[in-house]
Amino acid sequence: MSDTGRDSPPEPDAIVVTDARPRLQVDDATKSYGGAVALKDVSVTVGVGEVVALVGHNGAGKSTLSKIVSGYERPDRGEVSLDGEVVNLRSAKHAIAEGIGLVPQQLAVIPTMTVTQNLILGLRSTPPGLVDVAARLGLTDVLNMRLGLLGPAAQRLVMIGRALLRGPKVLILDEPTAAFSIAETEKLFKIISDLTADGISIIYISHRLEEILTIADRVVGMSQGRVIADRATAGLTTDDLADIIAGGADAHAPSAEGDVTFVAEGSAAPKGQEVLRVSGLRTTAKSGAATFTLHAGEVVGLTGLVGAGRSSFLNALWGTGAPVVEGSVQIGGRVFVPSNPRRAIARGLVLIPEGRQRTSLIPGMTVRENAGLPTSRRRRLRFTPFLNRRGERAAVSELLAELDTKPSRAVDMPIEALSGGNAQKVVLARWLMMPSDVALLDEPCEGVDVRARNEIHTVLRAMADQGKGVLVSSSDVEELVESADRILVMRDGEIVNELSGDAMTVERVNRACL
Amino acid sequence: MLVMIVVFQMLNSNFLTVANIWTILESAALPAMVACALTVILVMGEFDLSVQAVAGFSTTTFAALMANWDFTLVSAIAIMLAAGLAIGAATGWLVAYQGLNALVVTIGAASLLNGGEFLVSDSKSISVGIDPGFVKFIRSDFHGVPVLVIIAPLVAALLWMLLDRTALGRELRSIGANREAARFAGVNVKRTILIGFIITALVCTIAGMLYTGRAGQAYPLTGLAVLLPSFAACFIGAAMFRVGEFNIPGTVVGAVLASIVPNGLLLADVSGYSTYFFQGGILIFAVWFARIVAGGEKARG
Ligand SMILES: Nc1ncnc2c1ncn2[C@@H]1O[C@H](COP(=O)(O)OP(=O)(O)OP(=O)(O)O)[C@@H](O)[C@H]1O
Ligand SMILES: [Mg+2]
Repeated sequence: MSDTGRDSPPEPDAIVVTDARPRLQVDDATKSYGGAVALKDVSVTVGVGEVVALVGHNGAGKSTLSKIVSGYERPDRGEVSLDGEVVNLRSAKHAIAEGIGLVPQQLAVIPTMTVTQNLILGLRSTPPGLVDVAARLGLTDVLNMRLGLLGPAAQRLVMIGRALLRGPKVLILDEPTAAFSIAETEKLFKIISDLTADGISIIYISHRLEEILTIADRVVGMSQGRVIADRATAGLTTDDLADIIAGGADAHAPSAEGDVTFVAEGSAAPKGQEVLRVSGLRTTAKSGAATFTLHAGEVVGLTGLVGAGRSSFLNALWGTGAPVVEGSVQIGGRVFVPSNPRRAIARGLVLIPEGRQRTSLIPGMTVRENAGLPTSRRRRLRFTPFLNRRGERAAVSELLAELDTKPSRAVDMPIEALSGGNAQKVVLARWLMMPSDVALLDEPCEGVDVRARNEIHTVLRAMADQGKGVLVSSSDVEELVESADRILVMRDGEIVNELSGDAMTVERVNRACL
Repeated sequence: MLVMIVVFQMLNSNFLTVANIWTILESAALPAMVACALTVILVMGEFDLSVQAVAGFSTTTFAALMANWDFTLVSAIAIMLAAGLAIGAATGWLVAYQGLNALVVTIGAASLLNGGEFLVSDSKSISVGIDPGFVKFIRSDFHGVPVLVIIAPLVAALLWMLLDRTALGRELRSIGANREAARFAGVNVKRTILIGFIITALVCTIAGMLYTGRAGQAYPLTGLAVLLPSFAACFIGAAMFRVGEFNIPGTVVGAVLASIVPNGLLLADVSGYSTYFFQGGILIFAVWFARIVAGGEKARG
């Protein structure tokens, strides 16, 4: 009876079968790390077959809550009940045995093993459901392929499969779609509806507001470790959701109010000089060849379905991907042969790669050291080999503040202590500090909340205004349509379409991707 | 470890006298140097089983250069530094550029160097011909503090600054923590690994030369016995200061602790072979302990 009443059913005696005992109930969960409170008296319920979305700014405590529910972390206080009975979760294993499965925000797969091996990891024998789960996830054809050869989207699906094989009653998905394009997202939603029809409850965490309205029955808004809203999805709009998210964060930040546009003033602004020209570049990874140009002062979007070859193309330019077979690249009118990141940096090209966990974050280092890694050779105290740590701290803090990173003293914290979205901001800050003429960004907003996403696009626009050429690869078409001057569509390594001006609508871009 | 000190003190009241503390620190100095050198490799996520062999080779060859081939002290030092650089460059190149397994390469290198000791010394003990001024200097003390107890902390401090305060050190650590991310961030992974191996070999070479001075003589395979204690020191260090990470201050403390044992055992009059049991036991215990501490942290993080 300690409930605040927010959960009172609207029509008491409607088609209620199981309302009396929610499948999952969290009561007054509190968790702090050192002095920092990550969760404070959080109470949440999830009904049988219900999809509850958790929303909130980066660092709001969503992942922490899901870790507590799934036994990865033990709360300082509070309890978790399943079907009305308190379960004292001792470990993730215990939670799985109780029927609670978590697909965490971080990818945890073994790239050198096959899809099947990854799926049954930790299970003693091949479970009977394997074929069924693989079919559900559309992985049947690739079961014997090495997982490393497939992209992050497939790896995410494998992680979901791993959870499904254990027959969960409650499945927690922490930002499952961050690297998904529309097609994968729709597939996932189909799977989720199947699961809920079987009575499986879902906790769904995402920063993509449309998705939440589509899939969730109820939305729980979190901010600074507390629950600040708990509403049925029916009737909500994305603006309402944005308000819930912003309402929690200190709402006086300038970009929180009003609509922000990132499109350059006078949208047909004269183009600057050509900074990047890619002519017929083909890698061993895809059969198509890419051709396009990028000019100073413009923000160009690059999209396509997952597997279209965007990341392998960008990595090829950076010298960390599949080798180039043919084609040429010019930076600022001079030929550039992709070989390694240092050469690219020397020519004024930077890549902010996708998949921060694997490609960017250095565990065991502080945020400052992480952000400063590529620029550290340029930041020495005069006449000594030593780093200018004070200068570095100032530069990093400033950028992190600009990107709305939480907590505010993050700069000296270990990188592991940051939430997913905030860690992504550290990755951005790292490369914003590097002088460049051409900036390539691969899914820069992965896991970043709505408001910080706006900040990022503002920063990208500012970079373009300084005379850089900016290429943003994203599977979130909507975001690109809002922020880019034009959009390139890639399919199988080839730029198959370019849309700009009035032709640049979400619908048309999505159609061009197929 | 505190318990150990207390036990040793009870077994022999000389254990905690000022003189014996200097003795302990003096005998810990060179092993600590080698352990710090090893830390550089471990920080990169690599392995080096040749640290003892490099030091030993240096001890014997340095003596041989002066005694058998009449090189002056300075030129012998220069030659040895060049040799150390070459050894580190060779192993580092094989590991970094040829992608060979560091464990295997350094075991191989160790065996080659052990053989080299016999070669350069003609399998004979060298005692005359080593620069007496050098020996005297190494054995002297400065206001009561043994010279080695001054040199070793200086070297440790240099390595600590290198790892903690320079771009190179940051790159070394990034390679150990997430090699892929280091590559994406523009770190020259291969060259950095090569440099790491060179630094380690150089420091081990220096430690070996200092040991020539400390012993005043040289005979193949009787140099510093530091392989196990070095690893133990690094792992004790990883368990102590920065949880789960190799670090120089931790290694120094670990090295001192690891060399208390033989000293204590000696004073306690325990038979000689028991050091084997203790060293092996300590190494395994240190690794285990580091694992427990790091594991506990991971489960929470
Ligand atoms: N190991 C840790 N040590 C210290 N603080 C931590 C640790 N893990 C999380 N935190 C802090 O707890 C708070 C909540 O983090 P959490 O990961 O739950 O956020 P989130 O809502 O999932 O954010 P995001 O949308 O960015 O993923 C953050 O302020 C974070 O810095
Ligand atoms: Mg999170």
